[in-house]
Amino acid sequence: MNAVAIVGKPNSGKSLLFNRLTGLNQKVTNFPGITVQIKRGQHKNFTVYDFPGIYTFHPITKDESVAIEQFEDALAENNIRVVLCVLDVGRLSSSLRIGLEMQKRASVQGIPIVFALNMMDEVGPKQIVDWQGLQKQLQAPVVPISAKTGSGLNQLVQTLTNPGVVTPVGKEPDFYVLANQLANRFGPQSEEAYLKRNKLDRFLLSPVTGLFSFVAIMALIFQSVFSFSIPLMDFIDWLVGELAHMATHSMADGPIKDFLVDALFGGFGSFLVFVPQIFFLTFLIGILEDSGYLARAALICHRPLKFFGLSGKSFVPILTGHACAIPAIFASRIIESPKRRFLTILIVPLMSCSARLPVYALLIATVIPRSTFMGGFVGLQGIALFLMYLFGIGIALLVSLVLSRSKRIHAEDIPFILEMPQYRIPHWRPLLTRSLNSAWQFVSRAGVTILIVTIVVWLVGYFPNGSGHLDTSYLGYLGHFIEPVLRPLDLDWKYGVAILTSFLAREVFVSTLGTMFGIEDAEANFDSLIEKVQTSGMSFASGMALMVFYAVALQCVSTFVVIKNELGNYKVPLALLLFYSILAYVLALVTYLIFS
Amino acid sequence: MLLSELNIGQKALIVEVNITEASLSSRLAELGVRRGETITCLHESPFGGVRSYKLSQGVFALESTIADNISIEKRDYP
Repeated sequence: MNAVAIVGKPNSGKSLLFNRLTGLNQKVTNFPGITVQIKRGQHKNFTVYDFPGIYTFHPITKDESVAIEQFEDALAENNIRVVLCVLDVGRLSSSLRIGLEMQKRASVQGIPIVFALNMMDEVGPKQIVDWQGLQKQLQAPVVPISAKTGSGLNQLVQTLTNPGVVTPVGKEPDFYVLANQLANRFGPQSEEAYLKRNKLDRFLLSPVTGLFSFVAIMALIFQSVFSFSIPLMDFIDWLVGELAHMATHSMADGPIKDFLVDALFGGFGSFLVFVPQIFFLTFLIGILEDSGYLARAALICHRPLKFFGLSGKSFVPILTGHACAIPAIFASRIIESPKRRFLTILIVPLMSCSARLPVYALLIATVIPRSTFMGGFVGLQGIALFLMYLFGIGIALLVSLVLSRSKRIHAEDIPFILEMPQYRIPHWRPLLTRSLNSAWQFVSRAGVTILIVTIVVWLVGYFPNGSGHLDTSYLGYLGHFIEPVLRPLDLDWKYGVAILTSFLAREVFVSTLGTMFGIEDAEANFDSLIEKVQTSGMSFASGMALMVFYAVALQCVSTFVVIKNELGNYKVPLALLLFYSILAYVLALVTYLIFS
Repeated sequence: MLLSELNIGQKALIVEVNITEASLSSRLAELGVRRGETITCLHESPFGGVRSYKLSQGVFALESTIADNISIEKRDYP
């Protein structure tokens, strides 16, 4: 096999190097332990595997033990021709401690190792890095590089193509002591980076400015998601309307035209409008991750989250859960305490993920006016969205608080340890591609489900009586059957159908409604879905109740499957599905009663 | 004195690490929490409970339950 395995400490720039070598855009983050899966890519000379970062060969968290297992399996299976160990020159001692252990393991399997001395661009002009000396001591090639600027990469590729022979490691020394000695002798001797970080930390972790910046940063993120995306959303809305008009205006009336107008443009198109928000949310969370602030946020949140039975590190899955629950459940592996990790997985589905955004956005636009303050930057709708996010977090904390105090959860508890990475200015290019990718993945993954559900909904809603007779269609009969459940919330049967279909995936709600309103409206009318829902007479109380329902209910098949896989049983996800559905309905009812 | 009693900005020498749990104590040893090493307390979380320390292997946040089990000797370094 002609494969190169990239290994090293978490946060040493492995993922960025992988992207450089393969041209793929993998998630590059500045939070220790974020890579939880092996990524594979192709360089023109060889295949590249990016392994999860290894902190230690004495694991205490699940992501650590998974990382070691994967590395050792790969070495034993003889798939790897050369191991590429990335060292962070700014943290040379700790990188070498891991690197030396890896060299030993690779040498036992007869696999050569190449060291890439990364982040050379951050070494100051007065600092000396004696990489040749280090190379001699390690008895393996050392190539100084910068994955960020791309310098040294040609040399690295050449060395990887011809890595030399394996030198057997003799008597095993204390790697900690040896790494310290080597770093002191050959590494840069400067406190510059550390002092810079210390200054920033003094501001960002102080009781006053630290808390203020934390709240401000979070509020800014959620406000921006709404403010930035409005022009783009309006544009897509206009575009879908124009396309629908162009495609259908010369067609003869009949089922095909009705299908295009109602299902394709009305249903599927109304979902596309919300994609910009998903893009901006991923982009802004990405900035936090890449800058190194996320680790500070975990530190700030530890005590309060501990009170609720969680860990400071739960902040990472909680935040990523606002984009999507699936990566967030994987991110829970960084939590060392099994008990706190379990509780985090249980509450991640309550975070207002991007699939809820279209639902919230539709309902907020329907029942909350578009007024703005402070020169248009702070809007009432943005505040409403922020409150919905807070509501999801609030319910999650309460659920966790109750469960953590219950005696039925037996799992050990390990104290909090977290490396504080250096602050970095995010690289905008990978960040942008990553956000575009996630928006595209969202469209393509959800798109298929949405398209199928939309078509099925259209078929049973259109027949037997055709356009304008939704009430007497097959779907109408089903809707009327479940209407009694919705009546206490003052919602008509169409919303019941939309809720039912969205148990597959939440975002189906919008397209299902779009399709049904399309069929109901006998004229080929291109009003936006928001206007249609508004004119259908949805009350403020019903809109709020519906949002609360969506905030709590577990309506996502993929999340269900991932929880089952992470915990290894069906019992927990089934219990969650049932519990969150009942809780959602009860809370929706209470909300309706409060606001009506 | 205990590590948890060290003030922010102060340096100390680690005298003893009283952590019996094997995986946790070997993890801490890897980071530089071991007898004879220097440790500096840098910051405390605004809500308390966790502090960040400069160790030989980098800057780490440690929960107070860990710091309560580490004995230190305060040093006045230049």
